[in-house]
Amino acid sequence: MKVKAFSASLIHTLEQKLEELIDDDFSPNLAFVFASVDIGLEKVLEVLKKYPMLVFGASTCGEIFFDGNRETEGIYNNSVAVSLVEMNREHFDLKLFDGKGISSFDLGAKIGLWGKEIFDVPGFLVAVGGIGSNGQEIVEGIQKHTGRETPIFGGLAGDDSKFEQTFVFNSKKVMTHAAVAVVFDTEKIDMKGLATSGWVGIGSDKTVTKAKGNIVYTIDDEPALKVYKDHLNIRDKDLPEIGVEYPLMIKKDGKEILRAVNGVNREEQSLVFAGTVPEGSTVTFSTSPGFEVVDHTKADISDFFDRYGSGSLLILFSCMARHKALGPIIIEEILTAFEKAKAPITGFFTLGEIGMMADKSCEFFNETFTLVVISEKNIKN
Amino acid sequence: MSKRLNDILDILNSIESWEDFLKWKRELPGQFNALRKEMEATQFKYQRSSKEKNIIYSLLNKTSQDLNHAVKTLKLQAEELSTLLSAIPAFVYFKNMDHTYRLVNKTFEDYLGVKMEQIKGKTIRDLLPEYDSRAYEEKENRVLETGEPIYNLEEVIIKNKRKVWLSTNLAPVKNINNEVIGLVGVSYNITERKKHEIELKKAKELAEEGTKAKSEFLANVSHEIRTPMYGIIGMSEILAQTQLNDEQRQHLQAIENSAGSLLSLINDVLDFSKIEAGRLDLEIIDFNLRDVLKDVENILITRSDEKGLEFKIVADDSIPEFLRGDPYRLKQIILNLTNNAVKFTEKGHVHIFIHQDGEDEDEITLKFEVKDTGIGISRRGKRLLFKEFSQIDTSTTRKYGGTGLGLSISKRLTEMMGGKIGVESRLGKGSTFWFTAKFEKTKTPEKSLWPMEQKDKKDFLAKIEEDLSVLLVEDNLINQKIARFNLEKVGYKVEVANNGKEAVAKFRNGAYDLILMDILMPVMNGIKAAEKIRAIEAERNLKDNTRKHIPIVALTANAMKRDREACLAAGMDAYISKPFKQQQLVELLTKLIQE
Repeated sequence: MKVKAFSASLIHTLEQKLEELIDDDFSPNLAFVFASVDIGLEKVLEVLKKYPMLVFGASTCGEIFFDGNRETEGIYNNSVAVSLVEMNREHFDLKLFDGKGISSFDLGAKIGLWGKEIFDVPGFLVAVGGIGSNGQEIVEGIQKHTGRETPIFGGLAGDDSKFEQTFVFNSKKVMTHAAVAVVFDTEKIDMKGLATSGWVGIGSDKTVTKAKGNIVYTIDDEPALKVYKDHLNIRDKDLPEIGVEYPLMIKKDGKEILRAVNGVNREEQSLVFAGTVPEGSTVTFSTSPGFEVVDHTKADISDFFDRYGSGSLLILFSCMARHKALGPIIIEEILTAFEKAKAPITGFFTLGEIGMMADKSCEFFNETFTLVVISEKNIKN
Repeated sequence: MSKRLNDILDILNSIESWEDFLKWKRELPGQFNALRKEMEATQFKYQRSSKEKNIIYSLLNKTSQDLNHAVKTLKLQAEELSTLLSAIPAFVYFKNMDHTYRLVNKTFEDYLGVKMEQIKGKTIRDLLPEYDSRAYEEKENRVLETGEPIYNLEEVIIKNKRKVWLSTNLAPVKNINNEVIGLVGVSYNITERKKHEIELKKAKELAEEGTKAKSEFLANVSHEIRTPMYGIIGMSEILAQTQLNDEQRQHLQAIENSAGSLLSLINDVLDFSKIEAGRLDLEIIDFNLRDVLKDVENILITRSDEKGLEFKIVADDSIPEFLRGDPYRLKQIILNLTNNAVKFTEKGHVHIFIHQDGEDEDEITLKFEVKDTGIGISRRGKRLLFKEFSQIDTSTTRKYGGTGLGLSISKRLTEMMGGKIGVESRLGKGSTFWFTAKFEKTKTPEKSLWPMEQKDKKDFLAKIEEDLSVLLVEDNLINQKIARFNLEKVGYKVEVANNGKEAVAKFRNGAYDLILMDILMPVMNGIKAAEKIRAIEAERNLKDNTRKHIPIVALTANAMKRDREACLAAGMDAYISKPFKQQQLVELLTKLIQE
């Protein structure tokens, strides 16, 4: 598996970089492309179409690229971050799925069924486009066909925190209410990952009194929108942007799950969350505990690489709320990951992450630093 | 950042020549760039902190409001709970794991005359030193260990040397992790109730003793009355067989009728008082149901014929011939119901139907129905029917007689036989009285052994109709007279012994075909006499190398199982109820010998 990564702030630079990197010695068949909606997704596609590569593309709330170069900034806006991969074509496949008119669960189920038909033991990378998508249902839909143990990584696409529309794309088409997925043969390809948050609960326990799927109507019998505005002392227009940073922490069976606001229905006074918030669940607000949370993430990253070693391809899905809360300091997390992995990292700031828990099961998260490390397994064929 | 600034300042300070400047020129942009990044981070931190400050402040403010509200709510709840607790007329207390009190209600305080503050942290031993609380504390330990509540625990505490009964419920108190952290107890003072219970129990025992004594007295008196009654009836029968004119015969009939009524009345009272005293036991013997039904028919056919009623008994063929149970009491129930039916039916019929009503491995349930076309019973009448001493109205008593005990005795008897009794009837439309009873199954009926040689049996059978030589052992002169009359009338030779001792002496010296032996007699009773006679007989048989066996038949009224066993154990062969007719005796002896 060969990997080359770069970042480009202009379409012209993208063209140049591709020409420069792709030659007789390196002919990638898979590209991970994370692009700002502002750079123009169709234009990006025009350039990529020239090369015979499968494309895993998503719009972002900021792009991530770091390769150790002193000039590299690590975090970008209005750009495109690219990882080009050359690997055995028999070990993976890619497909863009239309999710219009079907539930997130059914969309996930389509992906799971597709992957299961290709490989006995599939592993997935998934990006989901469309405000209001339920990341948790996507994961549950995939697991319906493949089981709880299946590695699934990915994120919900962003739109530079406009919360208007988010997109995914392959080499042919840009779509919203859709998902793009790569399936790997995990008998040949190793997928491991880390998800860490550090967010803490604050304030008194509340009860979700009316909710359906990822839409919350009332909390303690008051409209959800009003509860958010009253508690955070913010204006109507600050939602969902500021709300993302103060997700609900759902407390269940001693576990704490964060669910961030990704959309608002002002007529209904309801909030749309990135994942399911069950009616009747006990919740509190949550927040980052301060800038020290970076130290916590860095320790987790070091620990992860010390324990599992590195790999060829590193893709990072980091919550946009972390970026907002930690600003330029968040680069420290990316630097730490690079120093430990010694491999280039690309990724994007998301509206929700899919990653692996300590028990190796995969779930949908908010407010996390979620990294996936991919490499070929060292086996004779 | 200040370190970075100091580094830059150090570099700048170290520059003293153009050469120095050129040397550091490459280094400085990097240092300044790093400084820029650190400044940006610091600036972000400052901006972010001041922006976030407002939101966190708002969240904390809300939280503080929530907390205040929660505290107020809790306080209100605590006040309500406290009011509720003090209103409960029971001792309510919370205890810690070490049995010390944590909280008690006002009733508890008032009872001990001590305030909460002085109770807190104390144990029951501190508060009630007179009370040995070990057993109670063990129960508390069980609640604390198992986490399971205990209800209605009765304990007696002692305060100021006075006993106080408490009924206590103990329940564990658990924390949010479901761990037991103490217990709550609610104790009701039940001293008054306990006192009443004890008084009630005493009163009940006294009442029961009184009833029992009365029943026993009645039983004894009835028994005593019966003996002369038999005398009257027996003598009347003897008298009836002598030369009498019409007027005398009518008077005699009146005596017989009155005596018969009186006897059945006494029998009812005797049964009833036995039941009341708990002294009525059922027999469990093999019997032939057809025999019982035959007896019933024999007894009732005459009376129903006299009234012009059609009388029949229909038993399902599927009912086994032999059953195990009490044939005498069964007959009594059937007779009672059927007697009533005949009594209250002026025209039409009285039918008895018997069919099977259930069966399991060991038992069979039979249902007996007595249907008549008589006067019927009102709804109110049905309610009173099976109650003691109740007849439907006094006019009935005047017209038809009776004690009003028959049906209630029948009810008790059917219950003892594992059955039920009931009636379906409408005024003027006849009645169907029914009852069910359980019987054990049996295949091989008990047979009496008659260890007599075949030749002796033949001789005995030849003489049985008119020629037996009988030794009658009976202390009552009237009974002697009646029995002698009945036996001599058919040609038996009768010799009388007045008690057991005389009987033994007469047996030793005389030659008899049969001994009729009364049981209760002065000097020597029948059991003892039979034993002696058998001993003498065995000695003779040994000496003569013979197998002689003289039949000994016990004479007794209503012999119970244990009496009969005693008779058989003493070597007697059968028993017959007094007063007996000669024909009954013949049937009994024939049956015994032929079996």
